[in-house]
Amino acid sequence: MKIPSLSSAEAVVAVSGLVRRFGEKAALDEVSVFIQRGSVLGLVGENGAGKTTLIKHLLGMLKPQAGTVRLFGLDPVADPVGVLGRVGYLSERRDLPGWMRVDEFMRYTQAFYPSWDEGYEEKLMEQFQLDPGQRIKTLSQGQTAKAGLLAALAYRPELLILDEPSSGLDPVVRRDILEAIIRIVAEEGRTVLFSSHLLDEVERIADQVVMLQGGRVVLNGRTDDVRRNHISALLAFAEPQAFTPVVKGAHAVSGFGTEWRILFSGSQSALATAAAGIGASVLDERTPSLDEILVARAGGKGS
Amino acid sequence: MALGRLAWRTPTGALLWEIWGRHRWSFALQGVAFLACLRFVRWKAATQWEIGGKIMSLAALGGFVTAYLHLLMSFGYVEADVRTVKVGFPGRLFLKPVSTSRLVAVPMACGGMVTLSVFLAWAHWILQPIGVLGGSDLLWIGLVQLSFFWWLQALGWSLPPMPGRSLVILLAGIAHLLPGLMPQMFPDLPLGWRWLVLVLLFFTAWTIAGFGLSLMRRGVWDDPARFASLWNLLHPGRAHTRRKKFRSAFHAQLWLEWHRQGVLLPGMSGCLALFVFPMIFLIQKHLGEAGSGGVPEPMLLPTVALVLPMLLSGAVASAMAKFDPLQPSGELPIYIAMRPMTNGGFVVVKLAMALLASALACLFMWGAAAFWIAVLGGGAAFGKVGVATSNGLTAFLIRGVPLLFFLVLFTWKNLVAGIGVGLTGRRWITGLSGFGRMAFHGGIVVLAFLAALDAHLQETLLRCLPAVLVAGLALKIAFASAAFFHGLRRKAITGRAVGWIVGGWALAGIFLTAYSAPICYALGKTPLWPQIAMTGFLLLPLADLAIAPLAMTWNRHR
Repeated sequence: MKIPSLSSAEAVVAVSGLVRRFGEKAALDEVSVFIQRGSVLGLVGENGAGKTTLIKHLLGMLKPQAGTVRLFGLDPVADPVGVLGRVGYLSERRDLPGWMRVDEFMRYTQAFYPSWDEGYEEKLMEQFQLDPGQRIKTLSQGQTAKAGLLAALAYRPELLILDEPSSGLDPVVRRDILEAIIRIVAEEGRTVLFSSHLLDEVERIADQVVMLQGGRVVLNGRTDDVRRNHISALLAFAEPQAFTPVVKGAHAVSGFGTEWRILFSGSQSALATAAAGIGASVLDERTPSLDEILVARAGGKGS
Repeated sequence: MALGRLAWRTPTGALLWEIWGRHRWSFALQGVAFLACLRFVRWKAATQWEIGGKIMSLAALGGFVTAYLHLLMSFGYVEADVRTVKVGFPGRLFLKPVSTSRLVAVPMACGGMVTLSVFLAWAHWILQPIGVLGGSDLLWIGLVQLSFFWWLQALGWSLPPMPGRSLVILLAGIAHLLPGLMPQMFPDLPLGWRWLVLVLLFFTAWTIAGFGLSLMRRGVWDDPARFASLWNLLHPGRAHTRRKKFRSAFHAQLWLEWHRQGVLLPGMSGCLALFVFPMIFLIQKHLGEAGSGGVPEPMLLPTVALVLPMLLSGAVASAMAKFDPLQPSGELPIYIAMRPMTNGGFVVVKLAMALLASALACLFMWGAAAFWIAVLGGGAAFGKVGVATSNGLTAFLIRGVPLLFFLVLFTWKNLVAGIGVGLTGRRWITGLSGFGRMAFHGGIVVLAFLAALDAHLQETLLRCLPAVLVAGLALKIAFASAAFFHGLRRKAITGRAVGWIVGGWALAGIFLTAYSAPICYALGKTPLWPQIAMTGFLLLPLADLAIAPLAMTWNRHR
């Protein structure tokens, strides 16, 4: 199922027909994504689906081989100053200079952004319980992530890009980081793009979700719509099925004997029709979680 | 075969295999270099031609230095961790089920054995025949070299991350000159005392390595947080003082560049200056070469001060194009790549940092030379330096100012000469360029060598030289113009930056032209002046600087 893209009008991020190949492998294949001002987009997909590659294109670290990338209507490769001055970024690799002290890193970063808010920086420093005199290399993984997020937030960027912000972090730090993001969205209406494996996070804060698989966009739409357009249904057959039943429109089929659970994309009536077509009846149906949808779409065929 | 393979399956075998596996091709290259140098020596012995012999000697000496430095790096067992910014014993080996004593003994014993054997082989078959080590006691020098190697290993592994760590290691290495020269400096010292010094050096190195590594393995020693706490305790006001804001993005980036790269050259020059000059005094004094009153040869220190920063700048130039010296590839760290600064801006910061580093390195060197002349030689040495020039000390100092400019300029030129290639961040390009440069310079040496042999060729070359220089200069300007044009079109560089670069190049060239005029006159070579001036313009980097913003663009937007 392909959910139509959002409109490109007023888009903070407009990616259109983006193609990137590394040798034979297509890392991104005709990817189009639009993010409107003030929205939160969750970028999801398996490892190697192309999430980080897409983010690197948004930051101008990779040049499109085909297609266009525009942030605020500007090309990040041709005009890095114009674009990067309005973007905050937290890297998955937490690539911070280990030799600097936390406050030195803040002063270094501040010099590039005239809009740096020292009061906000102080507040976040306190909230994240960071020691300004400590060297970055001696920080824990969670503290490093917080320092990176602080440096990305303190100049109040128009667009915040977070690549796996909670990867490898404990639940407490994850909560702190998510709360900071939620506050930014709620209080300031900033635009946020974040990639994550943790779909409960995406479900909680994203109002738009884009799912990449093998470098292609397989899902793109409002989070609620995406969930509503899928149905997790339990099908009952009169006779035990020796082989996995083939259901048109189902992304995953699992079970055995007479009862099989499917993840179906489409309306309830379409589900009923599809079930009837293979001689089954729908015993139970519910709205699946994003996690279930991702696993079904990525993992695929059922068992 | 089976037995040979089984031998690797012991912990010691595995540790040795790691060294072998990683460096086997470079060891093979070393063997080839040794054989080639042996051939040079035989050729030198057979020929009557003096200049050719000297060139071969220099080539053989260069071969030895390269081979020895490579061995130090291969067996030193010192690795860099980019994330923790730590250089030292490979931490991954601490996780192996091997005793600490074995972790210490394998690289020290094996590395020591190999470096000693290789040193003795080079010394006996190559260095002594070309007259480098003269009639020295090779075994003694070899054993002092062994102590030098062990001390480098011991301190490199055991010293925790702390300010001045590299300086301590450097000083410990240089200090080995003293035991090395003991037979000459203290000929009356009983042999037993000398051996006692050596044994003590060996014993201390092994003890430091063993003790330091065992502390590190237990996490007692190698804990940066502990040292940070200690440092903070000693400097309570400093550790938590928030730095002042930077005036601009340029200043912030310059600060970063200075801390990562810029400090390298002045730091090395300063450390060497502190130690090398008194060593020269001491050695000259004890060897009886200092002349009357134990004062060293007057021009030796200024000469060392002149040459050292230029040599060192050549050695550290490859690191200048990087943004983090510990990063194996030249790719930009993300925290730099995503800052809102133009690609040309990053390049300009690097050029400014290189200029600052060159100026400071030269000033340190000259300041240290003057300081040691004053302290160790008293007034007599200054007097002798003044007498060394025809018009006394004042004339010497006046001439020294343009000389200092010249020195700074060439040190800077060495630092930035490969910046355009280095900033691409592609290893294959830097490798290819290095090979190309080597081939080009090698070609010039060979041509000079042949010209020295053949008077007819020499005459032809001299006749063609002006045309070659004009063509080279035209090519350089054309290439740079194309690169500037392309950079401007792609907005990789601004017109103002182009103006600064071209203006700087022209000014520096004019300075060299003016500077070389009285020298040519004094040497009676006035007809050569235009050629020398053109060579100056050719040597000064322009094309490299022109392609640097494009290279940076290519690196940053892959």
